[in-house]
Amino acid sequence: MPLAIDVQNLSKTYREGLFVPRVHPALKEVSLEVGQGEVFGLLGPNGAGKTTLIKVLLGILHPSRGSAQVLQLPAGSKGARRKIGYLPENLIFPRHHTGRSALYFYGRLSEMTDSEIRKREEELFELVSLSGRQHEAVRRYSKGMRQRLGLAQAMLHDPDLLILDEPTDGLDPMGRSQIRDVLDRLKKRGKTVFLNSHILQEVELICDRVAIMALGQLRAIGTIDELVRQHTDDSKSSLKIEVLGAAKSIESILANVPNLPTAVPHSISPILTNGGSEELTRIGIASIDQSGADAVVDCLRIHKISILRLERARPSLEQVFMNMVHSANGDAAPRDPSSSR
Amino acid sequence: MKPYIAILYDSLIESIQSRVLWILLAAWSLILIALFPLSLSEGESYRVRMGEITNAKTVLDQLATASSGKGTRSQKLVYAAIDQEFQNALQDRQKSGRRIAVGRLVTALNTVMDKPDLYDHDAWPTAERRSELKELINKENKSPEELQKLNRRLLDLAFPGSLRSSSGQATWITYAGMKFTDPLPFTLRQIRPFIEASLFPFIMWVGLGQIAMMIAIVITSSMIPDMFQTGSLHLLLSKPLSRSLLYLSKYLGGCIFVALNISFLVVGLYFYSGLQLGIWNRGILWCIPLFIFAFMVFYSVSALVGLIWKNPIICVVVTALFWGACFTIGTVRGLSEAFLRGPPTVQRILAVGDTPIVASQQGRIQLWNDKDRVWQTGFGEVDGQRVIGPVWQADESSLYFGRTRFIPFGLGGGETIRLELARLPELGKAPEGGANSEVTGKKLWDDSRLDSVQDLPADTFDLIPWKKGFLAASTDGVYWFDAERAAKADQQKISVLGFDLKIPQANETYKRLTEADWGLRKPLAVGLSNSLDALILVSRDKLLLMKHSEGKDGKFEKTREMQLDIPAEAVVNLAVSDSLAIVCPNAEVPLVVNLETMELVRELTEIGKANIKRTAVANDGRAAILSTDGDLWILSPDDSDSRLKVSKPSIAGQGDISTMHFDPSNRLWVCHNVKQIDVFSSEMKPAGLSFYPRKTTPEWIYDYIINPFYLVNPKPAAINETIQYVLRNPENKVNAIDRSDLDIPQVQRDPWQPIWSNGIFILVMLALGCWQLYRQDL
Repeated sequence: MPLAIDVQNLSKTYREGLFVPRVHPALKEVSLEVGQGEVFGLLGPNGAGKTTLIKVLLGILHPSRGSAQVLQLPAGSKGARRKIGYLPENLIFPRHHTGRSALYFYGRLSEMTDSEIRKREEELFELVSLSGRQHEAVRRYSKGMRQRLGLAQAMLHDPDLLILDEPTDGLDPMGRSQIRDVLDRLKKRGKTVFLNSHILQEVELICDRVAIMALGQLRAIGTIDELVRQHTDDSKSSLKIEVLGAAKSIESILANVPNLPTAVPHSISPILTNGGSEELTRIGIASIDQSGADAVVDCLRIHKISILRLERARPSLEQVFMNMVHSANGDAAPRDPSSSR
Repeated sequence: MKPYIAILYDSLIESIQSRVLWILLAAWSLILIALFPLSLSEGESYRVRMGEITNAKTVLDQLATASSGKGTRSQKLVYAAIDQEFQNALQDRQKSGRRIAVGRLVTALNTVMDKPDLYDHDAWPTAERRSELKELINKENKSPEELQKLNRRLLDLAFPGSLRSSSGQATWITYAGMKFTDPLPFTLRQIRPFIEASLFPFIMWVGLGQIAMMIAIVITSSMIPDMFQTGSLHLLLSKPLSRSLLYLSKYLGGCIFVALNISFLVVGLYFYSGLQLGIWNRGILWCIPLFIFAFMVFYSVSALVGLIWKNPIICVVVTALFWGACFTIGTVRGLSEAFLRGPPTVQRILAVGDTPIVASQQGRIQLWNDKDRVWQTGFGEVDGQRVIGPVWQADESSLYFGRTRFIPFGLGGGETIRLELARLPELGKAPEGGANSEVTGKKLWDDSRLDSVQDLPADTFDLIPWKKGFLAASTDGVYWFDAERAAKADQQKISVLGFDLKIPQANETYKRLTEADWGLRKPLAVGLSNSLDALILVSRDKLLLMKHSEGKDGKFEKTREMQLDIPAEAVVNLAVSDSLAIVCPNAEVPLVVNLETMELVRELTEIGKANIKRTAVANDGRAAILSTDGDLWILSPDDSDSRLKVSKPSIAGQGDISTMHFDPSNRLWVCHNVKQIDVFSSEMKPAGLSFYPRKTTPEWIYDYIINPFYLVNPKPAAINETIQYVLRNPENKVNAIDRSDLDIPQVQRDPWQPIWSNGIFILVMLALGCWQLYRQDL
């Protein structure tokens, strides 16, 4: 598969201070490849170097070391930029534009003729649900509308590669769903999408592959399944059970489970019911193997406790992400996020 | 649409949609609406104005004579018609010599203007011979204007030669048709050059160049920093655009905003000037690109600062500091030049033996002090006066020169010119070619003023050594000052109450050698041909040859004349070398005329169109001519024919020469770089004499600090010179030359030079901006 993005050993170091120069490495020996037609997600906490990487791909920053190619062209070259559609984070449109005039302006900057823009505008406004609002001044647009307009301008010149920096930021659930639909359609048309997002669930839903960055380094790269498999202990996963019974009695029952060590983090909390006479309790165990889970279920049933619901949660991307970030920071591995609920 | 055009187009749309633009346009509209009723209206006014009294002293004398019942009948009637208070003042003047200001005389004469019964047939017997006056005299019910006109003509006749006749044309400044000033003594046609050369540039530069420019800088200061808003810039940079061109497009986009404002205001002023003042000057429209250019200079600084610091406030502050720095450096240099280069500049040299006597522009007569290597001022330090001459009288070892109060723009015509005499007995004794250090270093002058000698004739413009004395050439005629006779007369004293009083010499000091009605007109220049014993004159567009008759009256009589093609507004310099006259009208090609045949020999095309300010002729027939640009040419006789060989010698200071002089030994004395003098032999080789004064501390600072700093400093204010140039009508360009005195430094710089120098500055700033943007991580 030809590569849409090919980054090899890329490093970027910022130098600050005039008299006492300080060196701040933003990217350290980053290498990644994104195939054409892929929807690729770049994850990482703030300050991980994601935006720096995008800036290098767009030619906004000059790399200190290493190489980056976009669509087989040097990153930042005019030829490469012609084939890229970019939606920046916190996009600001000049205040004097209407939605339509902004689309024309950025279309012209992308070397499109007015007639080419005219052919595409209606379809795009329809696509981003801004039909009928395109003649309004952008300064009156909501953040979501601006974001959708930004997406429209990024797609206007039908680029081979879309680089989207937090595309769903500030959007309501409907807006997010619309963006996801748009990205699905782009994917079907064989376009490459390079997505930078904080919203892990979204990335899980859309992306074919993801990369996780932390402290300027690439910590992991692969499909979501691969990452989950590689970076979590699949034999131990969380267990959630909802049972009929008082929390106190359940707690005493669970104390008798032979294979449930006290060290395993777990929670037992009553569930408020709608005025019913029977009490409901939720049991949450962060990490437990299959034999432990069997023992818990057996013990509950021996004590005639009715199990209303049982969920054996699979390790998530979020868990992988948290593990990666924390290990990069030198922290202890985090608890299963579900255990806190 | 090309991407960069799209950015410019976007800037235009942004400007049009900007509220600030509309507020400014509304402000400009209000200014134009307020200005529109202000107009000039032409009419008739025969009131006496200050400049029309050519000889106030004579008028006062004649009125005083009339007060004692003497003088002409017309003068007596005028005296009777003036108010009692002025009559008393005249009597005071008679008794105590108390002076009367010219302004007061003007007021008094104007009170006469409204008298209905001034005319008297016996007092003005010739009045009815003039059809214009006859009609007015015989008219029964005269309007106030007609009465004024009649009385004014009667005043002109009562004081012939002292009152300049009034054409009656006058101009009022009006607002919405209301006259709210006294009439200006000019016609619209006369005012136009002033408006175009001074008023328009002033309004343009102060109004647009300063105030509007500051507003523009403040408003546009945020444009480049705004570009750096993260969400906006990154999107722009992701497009297939070059960073440099993106920056340049944004820069030009900022200029579009200013261009809209300036165009609106200037086009408004153009129509105001045309419709209300009748001056359709396309130069006003030329100011639009010039002001945009001036703005581009400042905006190039603002844009670069915006690129580096990304903060509009810093942009405004740094641009204002830049402006202040340019202004300060320009002002300091201007002031330094005004003190160090203007006034001390040597304008006349006279060599007595090996000793130079110089006259500086500030009116000082100075001698070289070899011991201290300075120019030592003699005969009192009277600054701010113009020197005419000097001429050297070898027999008496005396130096004669005229001193007039220096008033620019030719307004000094009516001022008195005092004849000064300095006896330099020691200098006279100094052997030819000998050292002069003995002469200098001590009191130089025998301050023996000729107290009894009258002032030089009014409007004397040149002194020419002649016989034992000199000729004083004035617009009124050529007079001979006989030094011998004057000296004798000066000895005559009478004793009153034990005090010796010198007897005033009435009118006999200067003997008029031309007919009273010689009818010469400006431009006027005079030269003397010793070989032909003739006076050569340029009067308006004629070259006249006036032979000296040895008869009883010894006057010069016109014998031949030749028509010349000289514009009426020109200034003419004349060099007479035996039988050749070199006529140099300013801004024209100098002409060589054979005085024997009165034919044009050739045009000095080698020199081309030039403003010649000084000429000198050597005994060997060579002539030197000097342009206001400081270029010196030598014209040598060519044996093969009567043509002159023109050469521009490579000598020190060429291009910055202020004056030159041929001494009797045919050596050429050249003054350059304000007050440095070199002497050259007839072969133009150094004659071993030079006079370089020691530099003073201020001169050191000027030469080695201020001037180099100024040279590398951008000069946005100099664009004003270009604006002045485009506003000046081609036919008024000659008026730019000060006709009263070509020695006044003439700004004849290339008007487009500021465009080049500032253009280079803009390019450098933009290149720095592009480089900064290229290397910058954003």
